Amino acid sequence: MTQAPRSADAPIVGASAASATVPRIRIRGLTKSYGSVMANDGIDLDIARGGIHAIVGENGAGKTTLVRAIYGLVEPDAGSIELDGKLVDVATPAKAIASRIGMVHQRFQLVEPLTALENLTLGDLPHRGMFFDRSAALSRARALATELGTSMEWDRPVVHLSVGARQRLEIMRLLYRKADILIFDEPTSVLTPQEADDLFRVLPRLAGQGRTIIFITHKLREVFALADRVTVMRRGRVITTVPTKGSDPQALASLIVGEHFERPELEAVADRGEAVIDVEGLSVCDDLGTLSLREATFTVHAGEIVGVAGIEGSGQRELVEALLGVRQPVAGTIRLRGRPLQRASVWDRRKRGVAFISEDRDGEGACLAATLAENVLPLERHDPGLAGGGRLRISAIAAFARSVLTRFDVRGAGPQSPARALSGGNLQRLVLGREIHKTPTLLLAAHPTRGVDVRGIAFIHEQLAQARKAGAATLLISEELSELIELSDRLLVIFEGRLVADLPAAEVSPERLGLLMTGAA
Amino acid sequence: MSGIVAETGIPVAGQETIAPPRALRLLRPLQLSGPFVIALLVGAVVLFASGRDAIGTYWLLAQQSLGGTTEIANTLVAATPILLTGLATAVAFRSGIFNVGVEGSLYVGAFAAAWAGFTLKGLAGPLLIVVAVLLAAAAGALWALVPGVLRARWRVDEVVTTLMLNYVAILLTSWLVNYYFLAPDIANSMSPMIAKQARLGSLLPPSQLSIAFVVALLVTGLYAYFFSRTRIGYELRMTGLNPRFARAVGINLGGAVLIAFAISGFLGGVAGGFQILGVNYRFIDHFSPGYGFTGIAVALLGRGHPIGIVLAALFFGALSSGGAMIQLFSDIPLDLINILQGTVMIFAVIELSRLPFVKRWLRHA
Repeated sequence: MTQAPRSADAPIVGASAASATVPRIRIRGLTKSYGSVMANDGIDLDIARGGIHAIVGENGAGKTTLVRAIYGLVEPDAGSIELDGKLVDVATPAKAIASRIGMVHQRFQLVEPLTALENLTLGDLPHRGMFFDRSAALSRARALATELGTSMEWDRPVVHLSVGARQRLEIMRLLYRKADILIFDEPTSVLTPQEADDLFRVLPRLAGQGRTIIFITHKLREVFALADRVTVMRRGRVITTVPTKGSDPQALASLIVGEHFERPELEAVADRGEAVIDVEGLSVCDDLGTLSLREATFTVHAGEIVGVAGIEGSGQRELVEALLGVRQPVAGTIRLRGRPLQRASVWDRRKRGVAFISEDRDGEGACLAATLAENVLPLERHDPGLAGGGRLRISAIAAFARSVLTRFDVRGAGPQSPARALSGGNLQRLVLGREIHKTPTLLLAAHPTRGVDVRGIAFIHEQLAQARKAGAATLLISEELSELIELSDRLLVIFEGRLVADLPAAEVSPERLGLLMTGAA
Repeated sequence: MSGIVAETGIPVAGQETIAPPRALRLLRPLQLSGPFVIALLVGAVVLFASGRDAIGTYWLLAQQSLGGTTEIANTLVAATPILLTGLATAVAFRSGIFNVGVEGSLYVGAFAAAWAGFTLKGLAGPLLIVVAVLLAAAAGALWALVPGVLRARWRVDEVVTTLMLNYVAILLTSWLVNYYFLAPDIANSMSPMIAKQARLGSLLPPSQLSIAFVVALLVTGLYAYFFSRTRIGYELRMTGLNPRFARAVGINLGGAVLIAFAISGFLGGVAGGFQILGVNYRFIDHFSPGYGFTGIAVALLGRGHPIGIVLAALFFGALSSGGAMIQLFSDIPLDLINILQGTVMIFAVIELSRLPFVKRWLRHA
């Protein structure tokens, strides 16, 4: 491998310079536009066999379009894709699978009520005569698990598997179908840090077996931990492709963004105000009726951000849902500014200034089929100026929506466009705008920066800091430990549904937090 | 229909096809007219196979439904109940509720209107008509609130309850008319005639075209206004498009379910009431040829859009009035009309934009 130049601006074209062999995938002039937006604009890219190739870039840089084109989900307007030097037409995923290309999507493509084994063999059942040959299926499944260096509960319905296990199952399903190009679209965005570590062990193993791995990510840390080569994309173009070895993370970060930017420094802790929310002995059950949050007691004050650290699924979601009012607690009291809340409806709480950023942006945070204006309106739908007498004032609503969209820098669509047209980062800005354009009393922020690019993260952090300064009490749920430590005044650590620690954020190291989160301390 | 409303129509699962909006706009009339054209082609094959002249039959059908003032008036009369049941169904669909029980509301509404018509004979004409229609609406709404409460309170699946309650309504009214309100001078299962002053006059004799059709058009306008310009309409629409989103922003889902059911049943009751006051003048056991069910087809075919619903109702109205007439003039069986209706339905639910050749066309447009 050649050493990358320090200023990684000059693109190094192709690994072919170093290795004489034909690249596993060669893309030339790949172009795809959606209306006036060039999602991919003349992409040239070579991907070598047996390596891990990362593709990084901001939201809307065209990464997903590119890999979807390789997998046959997107038909390009122009350009060619060669596998091992042969021109191929991967017009559909079926053709891609036949060409031994497989993809692990952000949303898993598993049949939830079926078992892991059934999901694995679906579409190509081992059989003896007309009967399912279960033992043959099981031995092939076990062989795959061994190959991957992992384990699997094969008889468990997928619905009861953890997210990490589901992802491993997806990978094994690709191997079962003999894929040797594996594409991952933001594989760690849905994983807990521990599950991500497992994945990081699996990927090099697969590459070591001669398979070619392509993965999309926002996180430079993962690029340097895993990838051999990295391609930076911006606005539909490939900016550069360099080996990770010897590259400078800082230089790469500035290439991704395209201009200089800095993370905002949070102001020092202000005097904390009155207690906004008082939770005492709160216990909440999940959908299956198991106790997910046990006797939680804590307080959040005005002008304070309290972070909740924990492995995903430790009761954070149930806590937030109980505070928002969409889930009835089984025991305990919640007081908002001293007044009991546990019987209040969601709307009663909303009226009293409870804001909510959902961890499920597409499914709960926004209504994708509705317009941007309709997505900004709901909390103001009883405002006499916008809907006096129950009648919607269309022009006033549009003006209001425009002001929120402008203030929160939502780009890419106007008030009358469907929310579906926005990229994830812009949609999150919209959600943020709807929830905090007026300073909330209590802000429930669940994974506010999940799946958002670097610039978007900085913006969201800045907005959270401003809300805090304006006196909002914020409960911040996140899986990014650095985010929790940087933003929070205090940290609550949750483990198996119990709050096991309440610490000033300034005194916590990520290592200590990791131990607390896993119940090891 | 501009304003802040996305023309989303009835939510169809998995609408993630991305296409340039201009091409989509071009596709739209095609999407709307496609099912009719394909249905007519299939019907032509059936006619041809049974040795009949397809073009001649269609010509006769067109003449008998649109060929003159009276024919058009008859088509509008036939379109009136299914326009109302179509709107009733669409209100529920857009709110995320699969109410297939409009037929039941129609029956209890019709019975209530008939009862008012033959009982409250002392009231003056316009007053009696208003009372009868309001009673019909109230009966239809109350009937629909039964599955509404079950769904809102105990999450009972409304498809099962509304479908089954149709039979309860049909048999309940049958029992009432046969055992308690049977017309004394007649062998068939009918109630007494309603008072003369309760009957809706004809706008175009000899047809039975009445004020009911005009009211149905007005209701269509209200339907459009309700969903695009009122807060409650907005809340129902959000509930239909994404219930979790609606719940998180503080929309009361149970309340939305009840409102949607009540409006849906209200309109179903009005449809039944007008059919009594404008066409039948008495309650007849099992009188509906499935107006409520055709309403489902109308709502789906119109994609929840008010103009689409009117067009779909007119189409089915023309089929049924023309179909009834061509039997008098030819040996074409009524079953052919049913085949046409069924075929239209099947092709109506096909997403044209998903067909491969349309996809290609979209890309080039």
